[in-house]
Amino acid sequence: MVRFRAFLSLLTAVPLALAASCGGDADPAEEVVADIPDVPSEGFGLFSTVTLDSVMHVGSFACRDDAMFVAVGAAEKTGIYKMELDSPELGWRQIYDQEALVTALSATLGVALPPGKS
Amino acid sequence: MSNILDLGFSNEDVEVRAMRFFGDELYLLDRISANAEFMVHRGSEEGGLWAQVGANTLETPSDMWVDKDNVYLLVNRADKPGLDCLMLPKTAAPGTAWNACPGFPDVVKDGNEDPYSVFAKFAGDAGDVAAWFEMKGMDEATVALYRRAPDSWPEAGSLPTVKPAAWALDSGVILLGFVGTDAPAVMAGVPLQGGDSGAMRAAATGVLNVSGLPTPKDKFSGVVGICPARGKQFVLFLDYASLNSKLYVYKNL
Repeated sequence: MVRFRAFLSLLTAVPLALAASCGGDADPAEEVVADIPDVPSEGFGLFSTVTLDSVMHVGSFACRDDAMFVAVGAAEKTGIYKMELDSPELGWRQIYDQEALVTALSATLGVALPPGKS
Repeated sequence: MSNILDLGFSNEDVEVRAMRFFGDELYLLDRISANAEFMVHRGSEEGGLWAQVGANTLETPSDMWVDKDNVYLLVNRADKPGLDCLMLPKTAAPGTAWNACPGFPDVVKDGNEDPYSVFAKFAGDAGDVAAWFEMKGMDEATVALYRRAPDSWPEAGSLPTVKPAAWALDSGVILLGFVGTDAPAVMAGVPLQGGDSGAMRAAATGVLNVSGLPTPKDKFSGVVGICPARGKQFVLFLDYASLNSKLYVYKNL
């Protein structure tokens, strides 16, 4: 926390000092940088040893305070997956496969559509 | 690799372009088959009945946001280059027309020299939301940031950087995630306050300590998701590696 703030200040302070010593103009960003809230800066570690494999496309991603969700295209694994932050050892649990999703969403159209039909 | 989710393009059944939670409510920006119009649906992770929110979107959307009252969409303008914002109450009936977001920034091309947006994403939390735009026609910046105020969306700066693959707002700090071998994994420490793009650039040099994250091996690998939760930052790291890809989750220590 505090170390990250100090780290940022240092990153800004060094170029500023160099600029000043070389006769350059001081960067007006200094005051803004000083307002940056605390962010942990201890580096990263593997949260779960369980991976989601053979993922072809990732991008739709959501998170809550208790879980992360990712929708992926992964051949036969295509669907929406959930990882609970309290149980990382359980890995990614599929909450919707493609067929279930198509069925659920198609029901809102008034007519249930078979996969691949619009 | 696209930033947008391609869910099931292989057989063109369903695509989920954006996914947001508000409490237990799950919202999807989706389309059923690749040649259909996009829709917003409200449901839950447990299954049960889903409902469509509003009308189908005739413009191509790039992202969706949900707060306690409304659903917001970033969509490509049909009449000129650039993106716009549409909104509706979360409980809007199917077929309800989408409305323009009040005070949304003008990021469309009105003249030859006018910068305009080509892609955009939302990020935020329960009380805060911002949008970044991949811009064309600007001198340096490729990413411009706007943060929602009560009646407007003032510019919060710009970054001369590559398009992020993931980003999040964490207590006022922006976190950007990137893919590729020549991009930083994660950048952090951008205060989204004021409109001083010089300040934004300087603050962005504050790189989060990313020790422990793998080094991307190809242009498709890297940070594809950032989740601030419980005072920590959870990072989704995709090791693409062709057909043997793996999605890892890392956390701040």
